[in-house]
Amino acid sequence: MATIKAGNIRKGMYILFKNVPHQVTKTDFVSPGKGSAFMRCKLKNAETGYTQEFTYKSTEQVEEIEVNSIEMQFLYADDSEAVFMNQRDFEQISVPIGLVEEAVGLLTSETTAYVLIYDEKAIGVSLPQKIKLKVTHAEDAVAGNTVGQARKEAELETGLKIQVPLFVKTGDTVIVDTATKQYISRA
Amino acid sequence: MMKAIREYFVEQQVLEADVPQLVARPDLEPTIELFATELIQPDKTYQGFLIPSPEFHLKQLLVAGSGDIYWLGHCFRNQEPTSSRHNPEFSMLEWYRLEMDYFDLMKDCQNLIKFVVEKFSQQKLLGSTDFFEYGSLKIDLKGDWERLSVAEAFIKFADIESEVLFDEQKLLNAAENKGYTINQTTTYDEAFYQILLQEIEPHLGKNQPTFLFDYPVSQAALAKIKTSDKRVAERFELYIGGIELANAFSELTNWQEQQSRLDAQQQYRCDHHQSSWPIDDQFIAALKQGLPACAGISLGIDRLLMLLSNRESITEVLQFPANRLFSTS
Repeated sequence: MATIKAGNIRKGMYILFKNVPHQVTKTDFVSPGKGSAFMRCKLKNAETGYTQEFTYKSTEQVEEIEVNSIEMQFLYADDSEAVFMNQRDFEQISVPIGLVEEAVGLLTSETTAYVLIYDEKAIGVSLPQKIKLKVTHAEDAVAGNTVGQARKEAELETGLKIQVPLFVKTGDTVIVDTATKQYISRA
Repeated sequence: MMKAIREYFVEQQVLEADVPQLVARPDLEPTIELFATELIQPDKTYQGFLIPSPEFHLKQLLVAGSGDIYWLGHCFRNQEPTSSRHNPEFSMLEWYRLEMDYFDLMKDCQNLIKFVVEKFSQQKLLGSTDFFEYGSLKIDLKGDWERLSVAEAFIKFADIESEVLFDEQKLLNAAENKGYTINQTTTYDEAFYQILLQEIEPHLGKNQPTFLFDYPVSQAALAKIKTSDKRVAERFELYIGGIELANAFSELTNWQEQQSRLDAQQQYRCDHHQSSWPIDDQFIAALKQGLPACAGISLGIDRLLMLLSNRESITEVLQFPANRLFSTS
């Protein structure tokens, strides 16, 4: 646990808000002038996934929390939770689905990701920057009246649909940026 | 956008003014950090700054007898983290009207934005002149826009009565009771703004634009104190969709009062280890000659464009946002 000034809060940090761990999902610096500055933060409750806004005085003390990350293999997800397994001791841990929304559509049973643990509870998942996924369906390219970077839709093994260049075919493996869920290259 | 703004002022017979963007003695407003540079001459090197606002020079033109003037250009503020609402270099529109007070200026500001919206809809950039959509909001532009005093807003959204709002100790206590962190060093302005930003601002301008007016005197800056209520200054801000868009005053014309407020700002900057520089004596000298009674307003052009084009961040309306120009990769 480390105490920081609210002015130093950055997106992606985990902090204690009303004694509950929250992930900072957005920050906006506000300076209404006349001697005061504020940090408006979007905070996602790491237990419930509920998001709210709070405005800190930039000089206010905030507890940044240390989160342990453990590499685990994704097993499955349903409407309420995503389940991961620690590959060392085979122990399973479930993460409320509200906390891993951004990972939905990127995880396959071969994916390993870092599960974030605080106070013995899973509070989120950190994905690798890039992830390889198989294309399960892509229409044949229609060459013709397109100029420049023509794109088409492709469905991936997870069900995620993304825009890909025309040369990508069914059965190819593509590399996807996990932050934007966009095509990077063919694997 | 720029063309529409200029057309409005031509119609209104307001003159376009030019002011330097590189100056020696800029505004001393606390919490604003500037871009510092140097003017190198054969005999001497001078400290120089990029302007955070064109105010000091526009007022000198007013004293010189310019009449109604506007300025459209870029201002610079350092250290503010770039975000959805901040870029270190930003477009600002500032204008001054003689013989107007801040209520007249609300109307003028409303007319200007309606004029821009009309031009946009003529060019099919907007579907209607009556409203525009911002995210999930539908902002109604018809008729006169909402006017809400700061005191009314505190009652309505924060359940704080005027007798508490204008009393330093009572407001600090109220903030503490609400669960905000209040300690020995917490100032009235900090408590005031934390409540305003957290509980009030998100509600402002949601259905139609809102003019929030009559700020506590500690927030007066260069605004005149209201004659009928000494607790407040004749200042307003315009909010659309919870976003602060413009800041306006009935301008302070008394030079002694102006000088003492600048002294206080300079003292604040020294106390808080911020960079500081001498007060602009040319500005004070001009004010001594007499600033005509007027009202002035500055409006963030990037933010207005962001609202009208329904974008979440000003970086989406800037061709060259700083986070791209200065990216590390």
